[in-house]
Amino acid sequence: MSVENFSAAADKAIKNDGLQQRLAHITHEFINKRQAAVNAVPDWEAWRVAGKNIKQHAIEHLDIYLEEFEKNLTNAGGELHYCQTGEEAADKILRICQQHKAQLVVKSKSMVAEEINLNQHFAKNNIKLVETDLGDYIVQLRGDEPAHPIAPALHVGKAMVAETFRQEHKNLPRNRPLESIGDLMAEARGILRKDFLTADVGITGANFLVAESGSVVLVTNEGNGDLVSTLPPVHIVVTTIDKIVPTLYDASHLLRLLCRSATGQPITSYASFFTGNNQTQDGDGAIAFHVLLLNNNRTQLLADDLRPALSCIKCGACLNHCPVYQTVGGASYGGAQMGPIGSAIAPAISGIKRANDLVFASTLCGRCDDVCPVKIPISHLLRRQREWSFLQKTIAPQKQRWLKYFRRASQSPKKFRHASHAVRRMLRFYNRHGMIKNIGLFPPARPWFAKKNLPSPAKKSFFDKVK
Amino acid sequence: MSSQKKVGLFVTCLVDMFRPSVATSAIRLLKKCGFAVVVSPRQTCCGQVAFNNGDRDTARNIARELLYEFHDCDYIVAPSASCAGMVVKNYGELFPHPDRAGHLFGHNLYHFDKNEDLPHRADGFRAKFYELSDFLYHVVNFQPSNIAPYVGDRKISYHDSCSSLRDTKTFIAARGLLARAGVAAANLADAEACCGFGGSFTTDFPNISASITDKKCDDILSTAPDILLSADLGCLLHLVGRLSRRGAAVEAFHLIEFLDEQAHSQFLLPLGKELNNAAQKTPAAQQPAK
Ligand code: SF4
Repeated sequence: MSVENFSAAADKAIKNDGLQQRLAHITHEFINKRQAAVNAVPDWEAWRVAGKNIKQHAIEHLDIYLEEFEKNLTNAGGELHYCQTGEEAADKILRICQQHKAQLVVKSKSMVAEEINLNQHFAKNNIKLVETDLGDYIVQLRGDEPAHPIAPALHVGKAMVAETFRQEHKNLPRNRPLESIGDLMAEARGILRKDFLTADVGITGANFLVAESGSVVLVTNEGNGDLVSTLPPVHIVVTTIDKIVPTLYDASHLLRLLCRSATGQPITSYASFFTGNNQTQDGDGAIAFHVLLLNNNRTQLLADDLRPALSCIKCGACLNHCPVYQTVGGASYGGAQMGPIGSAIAPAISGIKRANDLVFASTLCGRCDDVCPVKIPISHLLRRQREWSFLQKTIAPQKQRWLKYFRRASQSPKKFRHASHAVRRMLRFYNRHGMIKNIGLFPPARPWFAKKNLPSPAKKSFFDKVK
Repeated sequence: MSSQKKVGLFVTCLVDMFRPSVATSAIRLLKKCGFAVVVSPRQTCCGQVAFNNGDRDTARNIARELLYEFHDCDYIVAPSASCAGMVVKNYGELFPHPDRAGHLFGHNLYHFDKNEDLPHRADGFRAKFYELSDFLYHVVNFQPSNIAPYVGDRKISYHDSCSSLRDTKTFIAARGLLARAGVAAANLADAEACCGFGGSFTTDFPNISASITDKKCDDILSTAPDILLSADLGCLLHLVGRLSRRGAAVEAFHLIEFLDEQAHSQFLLPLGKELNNAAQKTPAAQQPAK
């Protein structure tokens, strides 16, 4: 699936009743938990402002902090790799694994790995890569796309998980119960534990990169992140340049915002700080520690009006509150960039032409703006992308024509009244006692009638009467 | 009020086309509050359609026209949070002061005639611009006469538009006006959720839109209302359209119509209803202001 098939994928998702139920349930859970967590904070708004300022400052001084991070990371025995494109990053990771003669690689939670199609790349090159976050593991076994950055398998019900395990786990006794969540977790843990212990390389994402210490911060709730990063001899962190923050203090404030916004927790079960390899100071960590920083056109966002998009801390709150996401689910977006903020970033990563549908797939209701913990004006960014789309003429031809008519009609009040009069007369032709049920072939307004009627325009418009 | 203040009524394009009675009601209410009401025959729309679809130049042309049209009014009001939000929130961005100008991938989006001093004009315009229910409630301190007897035991539900919740943040005014009128309106369960309209969103993605709307329709129907009110005509057209397709009949009115018509015990057919012949009764005082 890819970003340009949004509409078709969305239509499919809408018809999937099971998915609809689970989406409604899970997003509501997330919304309620977040609200409770936010209510418990004396001044959430002040926290948001502070969070916004931290991110904004970091993004505006990206060059300085990236250099500082690199220096401190290298001093702690880590190695930094910059990658411009997704292919470059996937290849780099593969090569590090090959250098260490890796046969089994374990991985925990990384949307960036999704973005660069890491799993497919490894499969092509015959290195076994196992997801260890339970949700990601289920998604991987089923060959699906993740449905949510935090709850990737939200589209899969318990019974479906059991079915998948029975199909894929070769030595699973037939009579082993797989009814409860506990059963399923125990089953997955049994399989994954062996992988943790025998893996040659562990791959994780990162939530923050701390410039002043060269540390990588990762939050998880299952503990798999710690196992992936500490048991194998090699730890590779794959993340993006916008994760940088100046100080540990900054990181801890953003953690407060992140956890509450994502899951409603004051802090996640695990918040891990990795600093370099085991050769320095405290002597713990992996033998080899690599950090990959992916750009993938993010610096394009840096250079213009879209800059706030880089402040995103990937909490998922905007997705949970988005009426469109709630309806179509994450897989419909066709990539790692999903939900409102994903739609605002996707054009930079996939090109405006391919991501055109996404930037228009919003009612601009603004609920995302209100819940974003770092105050990103997401709907504003979507409008900016629409402007870009308009200038590049990547809008669907029919809509372009329609906008041209509007442009012309709006040039003078007289033309505007004429146009509005014509539309009103056309619509009234189909009027039945005040309601219009369909309008034959009249093109621009036709989609309105696919799923709903339209109260009829008035016999005389207001300005007809004033005249 | 000693000298009459002048209020410009911005007639939204949807009101003009679909529901002129919202404008006539607004005029009656404003006159009752002692204002001189003006409408501008030169106004078109607020430019939101163009702005939300990325056509900034068209939006700016439309906006510029309005800045001049209403410039001598003491206040300008619109019976829609959506349009008011466009003006209050976005006109500043259409006419930014030079220090705020930005770029989009190297395109300068902010080129307009610097001699006109549009940024200051826009600032003044925005400061005088109100969503109508907000204006009536907060600025005028309007006291609707008790209309509860006319409502009787009919149940009323109120839909908050996203614009009124988040752009203009005027959602409280509608409730306040209803409360002053002695009407208890039911709130919807997930009141902060969007109705799924989103302007051209609903024609770009009709299925997603309908799916979102169905949740709102369910929430509306579960309050079993006789009357559905909102201060935004866009949401209402969309909701009534979907409800009607689903075979559910709810009488919907714009809040302003409701306050006016009920208080003056006038008769107005709900949205999407028309009498067979020309016998439709129209409110007596449909004399637009000068
Ligand atoms: S844009 Fe969305 S995912 Fe990113 S920080 Fe804001 S709410 Fe969270």
